[in-house]
Amino acid sequence: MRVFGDTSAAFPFPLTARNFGGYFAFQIMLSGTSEEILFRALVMTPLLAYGKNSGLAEKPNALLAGGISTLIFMLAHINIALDPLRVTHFSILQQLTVLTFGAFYAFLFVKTRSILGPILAHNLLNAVIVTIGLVLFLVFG
Amino acid sequence: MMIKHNWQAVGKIGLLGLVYFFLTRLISEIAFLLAQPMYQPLRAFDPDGSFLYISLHHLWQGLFALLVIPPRNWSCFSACSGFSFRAVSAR
Repeated sequence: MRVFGDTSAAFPFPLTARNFGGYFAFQIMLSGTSEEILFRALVMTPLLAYGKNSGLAEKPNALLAGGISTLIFMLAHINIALDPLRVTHFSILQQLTVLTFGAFYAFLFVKTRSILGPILAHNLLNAVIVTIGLVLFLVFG
Repeated sequence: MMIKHNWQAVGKIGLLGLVYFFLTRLISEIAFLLAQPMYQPLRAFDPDGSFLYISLHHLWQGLFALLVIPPRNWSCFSACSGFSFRAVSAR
C-alpha cells in the first residue's frame, strides 16, 4: 500500500507504511546501537587509555580521542568505490551533521563513562530526524 | 622536555587512530559482505530495500565491533582513561 506517494531526498525508497515503519524501527533500535559500539566504544576507549598512560592531561586527552573518533565517524559517511577508485557518495550537509552529532556523542561518552548514553542519544536523534523528514515531506512534498 | 614527550604521545595516538580507522572500515565492509547473502532470501519482506539490508549490515557491524573490543576494556573505561566521578563533581 503506497501511503505517501513517491520517493524523496529524505527517503530514497517508495514511502509506504511498511517501508517507513521498517526504516523508523531500524533508526530507533539499530543505527545508533551499532555505530556507537563501533565508533565510540571500540575507538575511544583504547585512545583514552593510551593517552592517560602517556601522561596526557585529562582534557586534551578527551579532546584528542573524541576528535579522532568523530573524524573516523565522518569518513565512514563518505562512500568510496575501489574499482575504479572514486567517491560514490558525499554530502557536505551530512558531513556537518555528522561532525556536530559525532562530537556530541563523544562528549556524552566521556561525561557518562558509558556507551549507553551515546547509544540512546544517537537512536533518539536519528528517530527525530526521520520524523522531521516525514513531516517536511508531507507538508512540502 | 615534557612538551616534546606530549607531542610524541599525540603523534602515536594519531597513528593509533589511523589503525582504528582502517579497522572500522574493514568491519563495515565485512558486515556488508555478510548482509548481502542474508538479504536475498528475505527480500520478500522488504522488496524496496528500505530497511532490511541496512539492518542486517548494522547487526553484523555491531556484533563484530563487540567481538573486537578486548574483554578488559568492557569494565576499564573509567580506570584506564583516568576520568573520575570525583573530578567532575568537584568542578
